Amino acid sequence: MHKQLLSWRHANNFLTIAIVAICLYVIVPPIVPGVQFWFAERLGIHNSIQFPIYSLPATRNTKSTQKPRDNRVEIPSAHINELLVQGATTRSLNNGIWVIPHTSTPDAGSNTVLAGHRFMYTNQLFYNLDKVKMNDVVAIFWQGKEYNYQVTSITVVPPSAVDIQNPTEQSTLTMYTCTPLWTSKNRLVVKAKLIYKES
Amino acid sequence: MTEKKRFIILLILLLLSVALLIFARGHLGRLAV
Repeated sequence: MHKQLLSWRHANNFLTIAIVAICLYVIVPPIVPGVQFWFAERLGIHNSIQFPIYSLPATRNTKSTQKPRDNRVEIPSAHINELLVQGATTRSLNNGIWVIPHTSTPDAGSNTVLAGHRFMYTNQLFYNLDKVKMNDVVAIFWQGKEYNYQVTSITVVPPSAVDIQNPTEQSTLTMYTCTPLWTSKNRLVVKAKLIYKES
Repeated sequence: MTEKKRFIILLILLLLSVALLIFARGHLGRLAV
């Protein structure tokens, strides 16, 4: 009888630990990137930035700056430094920031459209896209060359607003992700104009 | 409450938390483009 009671207790302890672990897994990851950003801003730590592109190339200390070799987007003000991936389907979103097919690329001018997940348990590439402010600089490294853009508009549109992908006369960068955080109700759209192109 | 009753309640809670986990992983902030 005593042994049976102990085995029930062991089973209950195991279940309690499993429930707590699952609940922590569900609750903690969605808030971790925000907390990391908060601490990084206050402590001046930018762990996510591997290549310190904080200014235009002309004002940068080139000796201490190593240029990335892969295609990459960097937004220092939002601590975003992610790989750009190309692909025909939305599966590409699982591997990095997706360069939407049938839109342009930085070297071709017009409208380059990038999309990324705001939050998934497997990636949170554009989690902090809402931290971007007007006039912030966005650096794109594309096929070995650097392109700098300056943010010109930050808007929220419904998912049906596919006109954000339309071609433009000027070289434009359009980045979008889901908003509000943890939902896919609307799209947060950040548009930027080209201000520097590496020759 | 007996240990057996507690076990049943915890088992139900575990199933609910697994359902929550599946829902969260599947739907939380997924970008549909």
